[in-house]
Amino acid sequence: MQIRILVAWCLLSFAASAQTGKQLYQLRVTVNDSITGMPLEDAVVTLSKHTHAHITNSNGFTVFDTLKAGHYHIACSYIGYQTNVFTINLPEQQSVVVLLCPLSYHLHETVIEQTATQDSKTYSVQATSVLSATQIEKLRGQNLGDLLKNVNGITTLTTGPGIAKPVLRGLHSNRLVLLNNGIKQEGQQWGTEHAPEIDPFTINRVEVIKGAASVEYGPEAIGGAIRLSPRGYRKENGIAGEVGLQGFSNNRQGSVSGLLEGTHLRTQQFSWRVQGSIRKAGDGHAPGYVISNTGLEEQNGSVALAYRLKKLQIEVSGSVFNSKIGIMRAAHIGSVTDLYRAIEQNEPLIIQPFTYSIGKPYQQVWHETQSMKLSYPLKIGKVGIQISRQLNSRKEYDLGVSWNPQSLTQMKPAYDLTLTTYTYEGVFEQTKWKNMTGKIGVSVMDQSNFTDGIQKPLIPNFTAHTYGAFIIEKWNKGRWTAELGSRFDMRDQTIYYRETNNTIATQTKKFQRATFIAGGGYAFNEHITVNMTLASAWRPPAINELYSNGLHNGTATYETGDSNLVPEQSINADFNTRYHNEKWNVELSVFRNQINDFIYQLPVQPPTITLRGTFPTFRFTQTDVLMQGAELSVSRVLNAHLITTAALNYLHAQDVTNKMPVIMMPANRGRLGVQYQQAQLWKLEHFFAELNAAYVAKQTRFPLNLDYKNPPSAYTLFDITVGFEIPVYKQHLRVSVSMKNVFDVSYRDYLNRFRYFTDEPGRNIIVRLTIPFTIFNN
Amino acid sequence: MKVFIRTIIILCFFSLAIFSSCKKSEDATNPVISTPQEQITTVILSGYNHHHPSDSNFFIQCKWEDLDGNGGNAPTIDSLVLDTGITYDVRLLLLDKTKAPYDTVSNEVAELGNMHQLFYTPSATLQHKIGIDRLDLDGNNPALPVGLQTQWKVVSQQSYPLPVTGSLNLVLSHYDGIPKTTQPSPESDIDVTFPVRLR
Repeated sequence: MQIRILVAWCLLSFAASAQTGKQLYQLRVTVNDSITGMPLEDAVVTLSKHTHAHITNSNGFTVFDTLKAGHYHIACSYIGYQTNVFTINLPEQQSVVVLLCPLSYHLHETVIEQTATQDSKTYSVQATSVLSATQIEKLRGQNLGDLLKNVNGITTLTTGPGIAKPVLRGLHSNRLVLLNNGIKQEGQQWGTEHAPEIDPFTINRVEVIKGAASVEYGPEAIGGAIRLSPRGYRKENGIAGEVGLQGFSNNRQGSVSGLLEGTHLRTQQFSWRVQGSIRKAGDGHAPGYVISNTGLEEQNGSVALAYRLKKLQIEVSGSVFNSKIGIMRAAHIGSVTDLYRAIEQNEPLIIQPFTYSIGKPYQQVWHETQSMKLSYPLKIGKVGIQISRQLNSRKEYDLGVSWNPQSLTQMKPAYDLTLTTYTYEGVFEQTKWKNMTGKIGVSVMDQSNFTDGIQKPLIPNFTAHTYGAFIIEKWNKGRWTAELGSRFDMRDQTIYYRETNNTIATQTKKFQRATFIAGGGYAFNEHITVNMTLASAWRPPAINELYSNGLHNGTATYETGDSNLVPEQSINADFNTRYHNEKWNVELSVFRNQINDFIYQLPVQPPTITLRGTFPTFRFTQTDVLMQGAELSVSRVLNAHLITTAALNYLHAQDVTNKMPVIMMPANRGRLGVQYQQAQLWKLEHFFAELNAAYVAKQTRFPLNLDYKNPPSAYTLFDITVGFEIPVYKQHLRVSVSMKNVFDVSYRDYLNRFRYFTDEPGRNIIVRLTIPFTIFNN
Repeated sequence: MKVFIRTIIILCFFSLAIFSSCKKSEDATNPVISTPQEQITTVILSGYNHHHPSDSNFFIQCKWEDLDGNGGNAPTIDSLVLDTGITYDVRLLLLDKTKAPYDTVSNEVAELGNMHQLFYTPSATLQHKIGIDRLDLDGNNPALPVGLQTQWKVVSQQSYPLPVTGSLNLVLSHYDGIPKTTQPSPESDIDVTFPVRLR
């Protein structure tokens, strides 16, 4: 499944595909600020014909070893600066100095990077993982969760084959912040079967901040943050685009994505980008049978415009996500007896022939986002303002009432939730002063939820207002780095519901907390660095944890909320060390995350007797948990063509109050991979082939007698990918073919909510084709 | 300058277009008055002595009722008290008492008998002491039982000491999109259990 992993910039530091040839050369690159002439540390330098990037040291310097003679495209990027791309010729140019312009003076692709949520400098001390555009392209066509799974430390919480949520170090949903294009994604993320409403085709870069990130991203970032960035704007004048086609054999999915982008005016002051994608899939196939009613249909689109007016930069963007996802029919059980009967069988109790049509039950989700970002540079720093609106509409259709034929065909959803969110953010970024950089910001969020549908509401109507202010300062001198930050947030939340006599009743709650972060780093030499971070975070109880009250089909539990819950509070310690040289690249992260008043579901007596039998009853309650773990990744360059990689992921989650394991935590896992690459193979360019093996252990740490079925056995999956570029009419067509689950292994995953009912999908052959084109260029 | 003004105009139009998009949010402060979908609140088993239909000593009227639906107040469940050696004719009545007048769901089940089936399962202690036959058949070919009309034969008490207590489980299976067989379907509409006492 994992095509390759790339952990932090340590792994990036490899010149993976050093070219063969008689004579090999070195390329020395220095990156400086074009205004001040100061060296830029941590700038990313990528070279064409390489998949790994280099990071500059504190002198703004990096070196690429063992390069063959020839032309190379170099791209230098740095957060807050315009990316610079140019061509060099080896051995004529063996040493280059690259000047990067601060975005305050330019309007280019990284306009989005300048906003409050996009400055990764501040968090360089904390462990981060990155998926680059090249890696993401190899994963195109999958949903967001499956794409993010390729980051070491991220696993997924799935509901059948179509719905996947990212889980970072065991935490997900309301404990993980997703930033899409700098905007905090606001959907009904409390639901374990509610996948993030984000078009995976727009994502060009993923950055994962492991560990509590509340100071920068507010409450809810108790488990970390995942930042998704779109493609940058076109750099040269002209209009160009790209068409992508993907085919998946397992669910016979076809997808098409299109992109058109342009930059205009001689001064390159106006850029735009239009993107669209369509995905249609039928039922998935487990080895031996069809997983009925797991098809999906998705249509997405986005538009972005950027304009520079003297020093003022304006970016306006809008996007729409529309998806219909079938929920596996056999998982929709009526009673506990049905569930036991389903568990006893090896196969789902309802298997129908393959179809593209989606029957009940299904989800219909619409998410739209509009945003406007302004940025203005001053002498002492830069001011940024961001305004956004998000509307999330989720309709969940149930089977209907079997004795009424009209209800079986009627189109009324069981649940119909509409969440509207407005966010306003202002940030001041201070330019370097006495080795210090810093950021001060304020944010306001207004949210309202409207609940409708023919079932008893899952969550009530509510309005919520969140106000936050933060400051982070980072100090850097020589080998030392230190950072200190603090934030204060206040949320008030009012629910509106009808009493039995239909009068409107309300209930208001107020939560407020301060958080802090302190970190330090030291570079022993250019090979070894160590970083430590101590961060606190908090999270107010979510609306479902406070007020939900109802039967959960699929898990056969009756859930009740508790309106007296208090916020979760955590202390997260993180240690991170990297070692790299020409051959080896090793990164180890160790963390200890103590979350007090951790909200979880506890079975309570008596069980709920309903018309459909007796259901175990779970009430949201609080306990203190300790989550500890480590992620290790190693890669070794064997020769100019071969790289081997290995990754290990360990998590130990303990309920310290009740002295027992925490339920539904991802199992430990490891991954091994071999990658072969060759710049030129016959007529094919950038040829690569990868073989990966992923092992997922059995989860042995789970609370006894809480679940209907113990965690499933361990499994190992093999994946192969082969890809290349072919030059056709001056364009480079990119082609890749992958095979996932090569041996068609039958397995179940502990974090699939439908593991009671079905195996995971079997073998999947994926073909991807990307066709770039240029309309005009000058 | 002309280009600049033009661009600004385009930008303004664009912002307008996206900020006044097609989906409107509704007023959260005014929750909808819920009109719950059809449900079954009440299960009634009513029976009489097959041989003496009018003998009120052997009438059964046993009710399982949960007026506020799942959760909230627990359902009220009556006990079935049966006399040994008696054959009962029993009718099952399903009601939705949230509607006025009450909706008789069992009539709808009867109409859609081809996709419904009731299963009556006595507990282990009642094995060989009660035999339940479903009398009504659906329109399938061959016809399969529905189970709204049943005949219960309570074996006379010579072979066992009294009183006997146990329970009777009643399941309404529905077959929607899957063929109806003699087996329960994976989807149950009703799964209730009545305490039973033989005397």
